[in-house]
Amino acid sequence: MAYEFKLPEMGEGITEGEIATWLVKVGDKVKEDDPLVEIQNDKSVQEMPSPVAGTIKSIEKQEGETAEKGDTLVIIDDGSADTGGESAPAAPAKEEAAPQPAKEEAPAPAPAAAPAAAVTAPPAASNPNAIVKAMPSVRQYARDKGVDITAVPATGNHGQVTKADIDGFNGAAAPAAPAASAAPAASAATTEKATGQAIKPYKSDQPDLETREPMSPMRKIIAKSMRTSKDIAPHVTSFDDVEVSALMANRKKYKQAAADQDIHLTFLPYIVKALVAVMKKFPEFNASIDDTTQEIVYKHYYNVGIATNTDHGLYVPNIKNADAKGMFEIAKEITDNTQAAYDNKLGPDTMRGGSITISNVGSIGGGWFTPVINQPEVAILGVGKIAKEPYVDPEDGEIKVGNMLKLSLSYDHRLIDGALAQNALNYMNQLLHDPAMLLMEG
Amino acid sequence: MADVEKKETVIIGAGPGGYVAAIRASELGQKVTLIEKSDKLGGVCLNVGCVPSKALIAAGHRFQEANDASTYGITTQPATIDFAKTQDWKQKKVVDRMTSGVKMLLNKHKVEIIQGEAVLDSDTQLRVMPVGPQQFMSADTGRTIQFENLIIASGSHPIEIPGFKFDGRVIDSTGGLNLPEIPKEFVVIGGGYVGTELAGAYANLGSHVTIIEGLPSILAGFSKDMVSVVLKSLKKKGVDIITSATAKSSSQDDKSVSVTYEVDGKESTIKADYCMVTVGRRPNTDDIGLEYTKVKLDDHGIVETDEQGRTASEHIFAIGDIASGPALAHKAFFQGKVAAGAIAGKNTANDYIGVPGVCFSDPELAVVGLTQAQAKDKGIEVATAKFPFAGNARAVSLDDPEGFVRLIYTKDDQTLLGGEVVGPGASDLIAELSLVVNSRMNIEDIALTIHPHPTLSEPIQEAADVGLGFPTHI
Repeated sequence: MAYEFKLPEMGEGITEGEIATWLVKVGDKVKEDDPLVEIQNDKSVQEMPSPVAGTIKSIEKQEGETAEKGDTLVIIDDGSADTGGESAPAAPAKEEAAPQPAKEEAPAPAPAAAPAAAVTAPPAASNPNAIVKAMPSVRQYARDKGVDITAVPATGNHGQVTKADIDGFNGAAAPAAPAASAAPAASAATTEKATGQAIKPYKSDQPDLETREPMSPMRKIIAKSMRTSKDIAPHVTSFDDVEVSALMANRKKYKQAAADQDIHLTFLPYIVKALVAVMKKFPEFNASIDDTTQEIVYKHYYNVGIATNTDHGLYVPNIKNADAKGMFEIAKEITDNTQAAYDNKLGPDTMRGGSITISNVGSIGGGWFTPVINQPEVAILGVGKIAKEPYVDPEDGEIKVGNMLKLSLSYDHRLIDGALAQNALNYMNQLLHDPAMLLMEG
Repeated sequence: MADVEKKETVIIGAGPGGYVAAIRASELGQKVTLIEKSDKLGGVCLNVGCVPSKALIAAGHRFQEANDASTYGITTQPATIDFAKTQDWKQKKVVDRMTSGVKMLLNKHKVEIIQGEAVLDSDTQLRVMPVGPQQFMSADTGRTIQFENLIIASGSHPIEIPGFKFDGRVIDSTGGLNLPEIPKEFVVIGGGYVGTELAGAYANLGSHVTIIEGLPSILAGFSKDMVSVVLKSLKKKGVDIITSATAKSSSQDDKSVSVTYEVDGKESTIKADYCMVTVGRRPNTDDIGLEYTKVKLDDHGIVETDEQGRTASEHIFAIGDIASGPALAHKAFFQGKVAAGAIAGKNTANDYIGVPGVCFSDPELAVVGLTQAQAKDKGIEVATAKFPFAGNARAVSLDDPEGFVRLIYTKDDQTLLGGEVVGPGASDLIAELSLVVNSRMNIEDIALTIHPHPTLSEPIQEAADVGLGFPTHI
């Protein structure tokens, strides 16, 4: 008399997650839609509501364990007849049922009270619908290359994954579906081995002076994503600095107006707006590469991601349709997203479908650095601190004390060449140097 | 305590899984030690399973043909059979030849063979005990072997049911293969693969056979319309089939055995020369010391492994009847190669999509992959296409036109998920369908492949044509 709650599909391509926190314990009574458990996947934590009302009978996956789609997480006594299907009684095989148990002495459960087939078939795969079409030799080839074949887009006839697809995949990872669908999830889904490098153990002469700790799931995801990104995209980083006294003055002027609406106005909304303008003028910065088809996917939306550091990991929520939003609106959304990230409440949608990403270390004092592109995007803007430095004013040639903002633009050289990147950066400078321009173009 | 011998890769059991794993491990550069408790190599399959049963089945067919060739205009005197000679041929020319072949191959690959019973002491050490009852068993008995890697291929044994202890005229399949005479009355309890195969063989050799089956049908795993073709043939041979029956008890004297069974609460008794019980097999995982290792078993005594056959103990692998998947020799071969590859650091995996299953009944049944019902259970939308052997020139010219080929494929893109063949040559024909299923090819690939004419393989191509909507010979 129990309902088996199984891990459902959690959105595009995500088929597994780690049990982050159980919100119920055995014996608890739950109502329909009461939150049961928090599942952590690629870059978010999702709360799973109870589909039924009842009493928690048993918890099948403990915190820290990874569950795959279809795995039973919790059994809820809902007073109904058994569901969940998996509990197939061992004995009499139905007609038309599996010839699988197939052994030379087949199960044909005995007359007499003989126990049914002692040797049973393996449990069905967790996702039987995921049919990967590939020849056995191609599957072996994928294993040898360390490629997760289930993630490889197929180009063969009837959807067959070919050897060439595996080769193409190894250097290119996952920009599977064009446009919005990919996002950070995709790069995380690429196996760690996709970089083609053998995993070597860390060895040391003085292990007693070292301690070992398991990597948190989040750390693993970040490690994978970073590795994958560096593997996929030939990164080039251009550095520049821009004098932003006018921008600072503008912010100062409107800070209070924002505060009156409970909005914390930082420099980030300006940079978001500037990036929108850059992407409008240079659409290559709002694109992804689909390696399987050798196509450039241009995005006609402007979702600007902001890397957000929390003590439980790095998140990149993006401001959706930043081109259609006002400065205050963006400021508020950044604050909300940051809070959600801290509270581990960011929905996966907030992190999907990005155009470009901002990585801001300036608030804690950094200068120039070489940010890693958030796949499958093609550029990331590193924002450093604003420092008081001597500055030659181009207007009058005088040396003044300037407020210099450090910018580091990393881009994917497969798509964006150096001159284009510099032109974009110059334009960015212009916009940030003169916020009135931003009003015109952002 | 005896000296500890150090070995690189040790394999327990020289059945299909074990000896193939040994050869592959050796080919991949391992120093291999194979431990087998029997003095014969090859395991159940070669000695008392698949291979000798095929010999008896072949003899049964020859005897039948010798007795009735009137269809072809051939008149014969009633044929006689010297069963002792049949058994002698089966043993010396078939079984001994195959098992000595295994020995030759193992020698060629420099595999060290130790006879004895292996019992694990720990995750890295086992003892090899002399076979048979020991008068003085002590800590020094046997050899102690430390291994770097271990592959367990200890196989399975027939299940005994209450009231039918294997003894005298109550026999398991091994006994059924080695009868000294052709029984006049032969009772088979359990109409699975083995029961049905041997029932058919002895019926062909002249026995009156009764099959007692607990389920509503024999060969319960196969699709109903496949089984009905076999049922028709068994009835023609005069085999009595009692289904939904419970075997209750047996009693025997030196001349016969009485078998009591119950149907619908009504008991009946049959007197027979022999009663063979073939109700399934149980993995040999109880008495090999697994409790001293980290190896984990499931509720059915099957060892839990990862995709390479690696158990919870990192350097111990399990393959064959004690590992997941159907208890079939060819699955054990595959798992043996995968485990040997894994030990050698290769990225092997048991990622097969379908394991073919064959029953050498008359006519043969063979399946691979999913049935229509299984696909439905998995929520996959499938379509099927069928072609009868009656439309095949070769089957008709063999006077064997019963049966059909069925293809089970996805509705959306016609990827072949399963194949079923009942009819002449099914056991060989399934190989093609296994290739297609395991390669994730589709029925168009089959239709566009020229099949030789006139052969039994054509119905496969024809069934694909049926599925594509362009049938030719139907």
